[in-house]
Amino acid sequence: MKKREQLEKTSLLIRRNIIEMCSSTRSGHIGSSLSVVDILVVLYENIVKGSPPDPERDRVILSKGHACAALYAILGYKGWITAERLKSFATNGCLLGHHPHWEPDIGLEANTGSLGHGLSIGCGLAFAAKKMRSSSRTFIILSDGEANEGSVWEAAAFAAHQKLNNLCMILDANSYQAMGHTKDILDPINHVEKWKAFGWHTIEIDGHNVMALNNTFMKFGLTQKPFAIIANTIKGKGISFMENNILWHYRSPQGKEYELAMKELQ
Amino acid sequence: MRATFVETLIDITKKGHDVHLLTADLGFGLLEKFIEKFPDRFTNVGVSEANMIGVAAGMAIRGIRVFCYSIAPFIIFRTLDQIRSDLCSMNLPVILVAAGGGLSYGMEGMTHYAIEDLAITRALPNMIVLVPADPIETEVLTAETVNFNSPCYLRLGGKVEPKVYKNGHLPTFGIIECLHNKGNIAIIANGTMVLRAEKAIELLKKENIFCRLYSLHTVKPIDIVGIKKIAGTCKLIVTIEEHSIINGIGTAIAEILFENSYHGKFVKLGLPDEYPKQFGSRDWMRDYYKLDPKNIASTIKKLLL
Repeated sequence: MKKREQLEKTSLLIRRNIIEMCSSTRSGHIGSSLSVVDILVVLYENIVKGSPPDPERDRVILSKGHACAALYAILGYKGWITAERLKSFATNGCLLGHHPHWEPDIGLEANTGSLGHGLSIGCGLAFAAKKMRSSSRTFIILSDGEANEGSVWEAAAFAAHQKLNNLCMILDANSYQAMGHTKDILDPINHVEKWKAFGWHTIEIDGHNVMALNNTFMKFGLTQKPFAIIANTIKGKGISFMENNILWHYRSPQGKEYELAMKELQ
Repeated sequence: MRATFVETLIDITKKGHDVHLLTADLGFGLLEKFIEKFPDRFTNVGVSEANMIGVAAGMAIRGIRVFCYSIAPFIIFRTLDQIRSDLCSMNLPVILVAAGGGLSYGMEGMTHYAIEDLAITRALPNMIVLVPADPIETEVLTAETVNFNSPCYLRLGGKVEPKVYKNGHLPTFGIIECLHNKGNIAIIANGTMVLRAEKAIELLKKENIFCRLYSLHTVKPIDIVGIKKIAGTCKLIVTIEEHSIINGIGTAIAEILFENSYHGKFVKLGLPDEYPKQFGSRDWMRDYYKLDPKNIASTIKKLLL
């Protein structure tokens, strides 16, 4: 079990890797990648059991697939993706593009990129695990913009009805989506009450507090309900000029911006 | 056809295949036989087709052979994004069982028709597309699905359809099936149109016009070799389908004929490029669009002039 200092150190390293990967390839979706880093670090360092190709491993699906730079970076850190593969990110002919393709042997557990798919696939994995009496658990990370999709709520209803207490949904609630603030585009009104109303055991936390994340994950599976973590995060977390700025859904830091970003991540 | 599907699914499951049947709240009065025998292998996901496809994908990742059941347009159009990303791209062997292809839902109207489903499914990489014509083809092709390593669209017609296969003859997956082998005019049909084509052949026979009849039950992968053989021996090829004339089996066969320099006549019969505004029984609707034996026969006669 990694301690707070170690987890925070790893988060910083992953953020640096994301900036490096996205800057060198002029890739976007940096804000979304930075908001989900702490969730991924705690998950992969302290929570997820097993690793590919063990069929009994826990599975994580980044349903907000556009933030895959963060996922690739943590899988690279874990050694599931080789350094060589990681270097190929977003280059012509690569197999690590801007949205993940299913490659279970390196921890990419589904195709994601079209929003609103991951939770249904997660339901299928969790439901199958129950049927097979498998101990494998399923973690699905959604964005709050993604929760606009109707299919998310079809899956939410299914998971509660089937009592999938081996399924954990983490909402990376960074309050922004592609065209602006979630409240201005399609007001979520109240994430916690919605997931509770759908029959999920729901806990709201600061999605950048690694110990809060760690301690909340420990409560997963203690009830008969599927588990929802509403993780309040900051889009672009860790780099002052990227935080809460929608431009960094699209832009890639170059020159001085890159230097400034890396300096802030010391 | 649908009743045969359920019987065959029961047989497959009895043989020990790890089957799970999902439905998006349809199949009342049909699926009960399976549910009674295998209650743990059945789940009604509710009226949520998109979720059903995702759930099927997740279960298939763990090695379960999932069959998803719904009415044709709901299982293919409403869910297309999930089908392409979660099933076809990931190449997961989930079987989409579409009830009521074409105009089968008659009086229910266009919301329940699937007249563009083959155009879409045959364009999806990795997708196997099957359109059985009768209970025999339904049984053989359903039984075959347990061997698939890819997703499959199985388009069924009504609950019960008459047999077109006789004398113990059986179809083979992937091979265009010859049901009548006389003459040098070929009718290639599938699904419910095979029986209608057979009746048209009977009418033509009375006028000493002899036609061959083929059932193209496997739309994808299409039997290129078989179709080339037909092209080599027939002066007229007519395709008949309960589907839009755009991008159905007529188009698929035309592509093969054109690429192989076929010099004979070729005509495709099917549904026009429109959504029907009128309602009618399935047979009335098929007749309305001139897909009845009499019209099929007279079209062929005119082509011979």
